[in-house]
Amino acid sequence: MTNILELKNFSKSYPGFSIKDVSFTLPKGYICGFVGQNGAGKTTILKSILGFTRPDSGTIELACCAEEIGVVMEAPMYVDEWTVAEVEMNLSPFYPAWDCVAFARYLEQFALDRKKKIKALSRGMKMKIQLAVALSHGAKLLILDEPTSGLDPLARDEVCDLLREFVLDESRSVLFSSHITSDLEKTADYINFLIDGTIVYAGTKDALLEKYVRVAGGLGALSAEQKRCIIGYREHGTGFEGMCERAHLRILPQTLLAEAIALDDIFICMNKGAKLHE
Amino acid sequence: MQIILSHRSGEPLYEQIKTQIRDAIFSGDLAEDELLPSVRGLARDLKISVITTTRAYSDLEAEGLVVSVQGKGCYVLPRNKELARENALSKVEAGLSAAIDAAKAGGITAAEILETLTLLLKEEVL
Amino acid sequence: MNKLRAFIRLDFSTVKPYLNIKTLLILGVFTIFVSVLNGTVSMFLGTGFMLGMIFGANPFAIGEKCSLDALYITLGISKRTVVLGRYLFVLLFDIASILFAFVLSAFGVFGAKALGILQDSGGTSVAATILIPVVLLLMQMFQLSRLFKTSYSKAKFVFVLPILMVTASMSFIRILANNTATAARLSSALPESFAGKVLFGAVIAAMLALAALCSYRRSIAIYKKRDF
Repeated sequence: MTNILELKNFSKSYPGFSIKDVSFTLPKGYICGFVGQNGAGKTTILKSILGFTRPDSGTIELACCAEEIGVVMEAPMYVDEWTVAEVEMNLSPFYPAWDCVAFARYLEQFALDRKKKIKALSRGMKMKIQLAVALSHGAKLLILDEPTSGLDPLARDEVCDLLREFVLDESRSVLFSSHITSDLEKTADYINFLIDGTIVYAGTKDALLEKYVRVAGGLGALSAEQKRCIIGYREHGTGFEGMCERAHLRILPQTLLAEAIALDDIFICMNKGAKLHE
Repeated sequence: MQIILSHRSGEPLYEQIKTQIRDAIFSGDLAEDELLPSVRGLARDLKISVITTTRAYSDLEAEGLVVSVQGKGCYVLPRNKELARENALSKVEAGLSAAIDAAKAGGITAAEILETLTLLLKEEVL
Repeated sequence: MNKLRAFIRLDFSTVKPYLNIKTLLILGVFTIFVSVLNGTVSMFLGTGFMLGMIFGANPFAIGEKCSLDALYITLGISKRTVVLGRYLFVLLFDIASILFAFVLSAFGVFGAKALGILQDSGGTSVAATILIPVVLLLMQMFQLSRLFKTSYSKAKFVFVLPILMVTASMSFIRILANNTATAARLSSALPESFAGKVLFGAVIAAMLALAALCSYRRSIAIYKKRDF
């Protein structure tokens, strides 16, 4: 299984914020989701992979060149006075594998008017024009920064479908950042979890969902030592809840409720837990 | 072949896929030498990760129920009578364990369980 | 070479939406006004360069607003090609602006004479005709390297001021150069013979080429270090 992307000990500092020692790989044929709060460092890492900015230390290895990467950022990198048709006209000379039939098909699917100017497009449409371009030049790797934020559930589902279709071809891969955990749960094969510039989990989504369980019980059910196993411990009037590693269940009382946990709750508990250690 | 997943049952998705394919093989819904959907196609249809479908298929291959051919996909292997028996036995075991747990919770004795079992067996022709 | 040509075309497509009739009309009127004010067509070099400076900065302004520098990277355009392409684009735009200014200046001055607004032919000395474009070209080379260094909004101030100064001093230089005493002194500095004049022209051209090269190399060094 060859990797299309490999990051080793990537670090970058800004005043007041730093990304430390981030390492992960993206094998060909898979979708990797980057989860993290706003400001956790997702966009910075994506920008470094794309070559917009350089790491302070560490390496980024890409098994494809710039023309094989399709990009969707939060704002399109097109002149806002251009029309949709002009975007194709001006960018296609740079892509040897430009497919105008495919582009026309996507314009139709996304209901994009060729004559409309970029600045007149809604946020969702701005993302869609970028996606149409990204899918029309024979890209092997799609990199998307929060592609579904601001979209309604139907549009989000459409994007997730397109991403899954994209990797039906095993030589292609997708890397996208999001904090909409339901999209990640639906689409991602691998998940990189970023909290405050550090990776707290990098592996398959299935393994992440199996690693943790949601636990809940009555007040005073746990000893101090047992409480330490609970991540994102939350106490309220009639009990407590939180998350712990499945492996730690044997230390905890059998009377507790332990059940499968959703990605959303893992996200919340991890971030809460991280805040406690600040 | 149909695969219907529940996202709320708490049972891991790959287990559900395995169970349903296994049952389909043993019930004859899936014939010998039939080609299963590709791992990617199945993942796309069910809207789940391709890693999940791959895991289900490789587990089934380890159990000896299917075989994956490079470049072609996963084929159903001839129905192994022994495996079918084993599958049924494990289901019996699971049902009986559940009965014993219920008995413990309700204070039913072992003798009562055996009595109920004998009665039920008399009604069914095995 | 392919990418370089494609990039220059891209730069043109970048500014094209802003070259509408309204803008051209305003610039045209301005050019005619300057020429008629100075009573001579030969101001076209000055006005042409000024238009070139203003529009040459446009790709930088739009680039900053629309993150085009990041776009160039995704299109696989090397930073060297971006800088070289931008310089060539600006040069081409200068030439186009000068032609534009020449046509309009001639139109303006002859039209004004025909209408009787302008009486006197009021030529300009050679010195002024040489001095103005040389100064403006040097300014443009400086402006370009500044624009590659900082963002447009910061660099804007750096060149708006000189442009205003140059506009004011253009007329001043011309009047001064036409002043017979100084004109005589300046003209006497110019070589007499044709060969001498050609040599003088070559020296000036070499000086400008050197300035352009320095500016270009500085821009490349600066641009390569930048993050987007």
